[in-house]
Amino acid sequence: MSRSMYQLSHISFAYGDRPILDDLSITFDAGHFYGIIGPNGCGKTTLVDLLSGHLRPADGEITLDGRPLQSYSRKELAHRVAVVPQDFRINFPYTCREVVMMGRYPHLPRFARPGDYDRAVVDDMLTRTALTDFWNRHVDCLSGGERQRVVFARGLAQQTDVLLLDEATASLDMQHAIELLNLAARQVAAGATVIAVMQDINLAAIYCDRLVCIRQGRLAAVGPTDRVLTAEMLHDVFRVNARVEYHPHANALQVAFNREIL
Amino acid sequence: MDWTKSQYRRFQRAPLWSLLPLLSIALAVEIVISTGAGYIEIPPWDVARIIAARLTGADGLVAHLDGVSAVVVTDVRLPRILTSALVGAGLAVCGAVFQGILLNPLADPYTLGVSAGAAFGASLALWLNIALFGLWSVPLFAFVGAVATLMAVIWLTAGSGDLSSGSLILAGIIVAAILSAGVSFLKYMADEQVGVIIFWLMGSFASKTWQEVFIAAVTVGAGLAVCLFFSRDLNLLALGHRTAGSLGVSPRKVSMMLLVCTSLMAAVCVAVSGIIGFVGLLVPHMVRFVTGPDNRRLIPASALSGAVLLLFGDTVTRAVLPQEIPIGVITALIGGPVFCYIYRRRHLRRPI
Repeated sequence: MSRSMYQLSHISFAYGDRPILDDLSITFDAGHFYGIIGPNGCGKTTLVDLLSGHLRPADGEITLDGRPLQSYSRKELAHRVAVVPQDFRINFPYTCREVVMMGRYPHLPRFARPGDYDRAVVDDMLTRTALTDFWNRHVDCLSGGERQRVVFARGLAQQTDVLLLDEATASLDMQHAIELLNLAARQVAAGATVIAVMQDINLAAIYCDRLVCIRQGRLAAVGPTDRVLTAEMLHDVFRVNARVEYHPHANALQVAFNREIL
Repeated sequence: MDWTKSQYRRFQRAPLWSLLPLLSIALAVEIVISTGAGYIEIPPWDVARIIAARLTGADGLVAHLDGVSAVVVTDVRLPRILTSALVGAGLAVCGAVFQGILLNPLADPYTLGVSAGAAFGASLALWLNIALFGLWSVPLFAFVGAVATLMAVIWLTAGSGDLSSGSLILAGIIVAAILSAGVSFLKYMADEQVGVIIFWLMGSFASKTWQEVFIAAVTVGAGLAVCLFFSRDLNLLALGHRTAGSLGVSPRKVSMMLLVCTSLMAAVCVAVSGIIGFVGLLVPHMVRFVTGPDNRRLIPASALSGAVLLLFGDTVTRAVLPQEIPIGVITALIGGPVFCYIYRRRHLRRPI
């Protein structure tokens, strides 16, 4: 029986009078790899923004470890939750290492210099994300995939027990996507909770042990991947004709699509 | 992987502990030399003696000098020199912070229309010949105009939900365009006064007094302290508001605080000296090549470099050129081409 981490009860959110999320209740348990899937514009990113405290729900309550999310200061949250966004542009010539070091800021007093421990953490994350050759390169001169790894390393350097990935691997090629998801999976094995918005359902099926499916701002399905990932669910949520089978090579359920739109 | 000491050293860019003292010494030497230069030449060591005597009250240091030198140094030149150094520092810090908030290395303190607002306020006071507050009427109107413009720009932007750089810049351009038309209209209406308006708009440090030094010192000092306090948060804003928020910074609060603080600084600088362009744009841009984009290094280094540069410009126009040219013209004439060079090089280095 795992500990519940995030508890969302009857969450609603709207941009102006355009409702995004409607009466959403989910519990995220600690130590799992959650995948949030759903069609474009269904409110996945908004959900991440609510979990990170960037946005506040119009209705309902979110608790983290039983405490209302709003009662956390930004600093406290930065010690608990790291966010890896998808698009990341930076107009200034920071080096990769400087950006990754920014992940240590919440742990350092305002005018303190990074200590040996902080430097060790940053170097470790650069090594893990295969960025050791890039550490002195300017982030504004990197390719999209390299930049995404820098952002990921920055999130890891924050050393939080919750990692929110907002389509963090969408712009990466297969090799780098798998590398980063392996890192995320390692965090889960070490006791962290990962909540990842994903477009690629087959990758989600390999990595996530829990799936949250959202359609038009409402919860369509939630639970263990084996139980949630069915042809019926894909039909209802994505309006596609899919077949779901266990694939021995992936060692997970895998989805095959065809040309049909329903 | 092992990180050798030399690798770390390379990573740390130009170390701050050597850069800041170097710039401070340069500024001090420049102040002394500049004070000696002019219509009446005073040797630098005499200048140093006079300043030291004033600071310590030891009159023995200046006993052998004639009284004229002391008056020229303390009452005529030093106020002007210190004002130009302070304004240079203020504009450069404003520029660095504006570039950080607006996520645009080509922003400057006037991007949000502060200069247009000050120009309109000053033109209005000059045209109507308002002498309500004596000598302070024009600066006061300039200051009020600048602050009112800033509030209008923030009001326009706040309606769109967030303080994003795009909407701020756009609102600044719109408001500045309206105010420039207003200034043109005032110039057209002003008849004989038009010369006074044009001269004020070009900026000058001529006949500044210790009062202006005091006002500039208090504003620039306080503004610099606030900017330094939030300099690390400003770094995080470069990652975008969402990410900055997840790293423990309230992006809206920090942007707003720094915007208001730097705009007030810029408003005071403009009110004291008129509109001096390119310092706020170029100095942080060039300093960034040396210090890197980390605002904790960039802001203090920009402050000192801005002071050194603007004082140099003012000394050239005051003591070197045969006839004094408004400082705003000098900075634009030198700064413009330098900026073109940097801009062009940037594009050549990184083809898009």
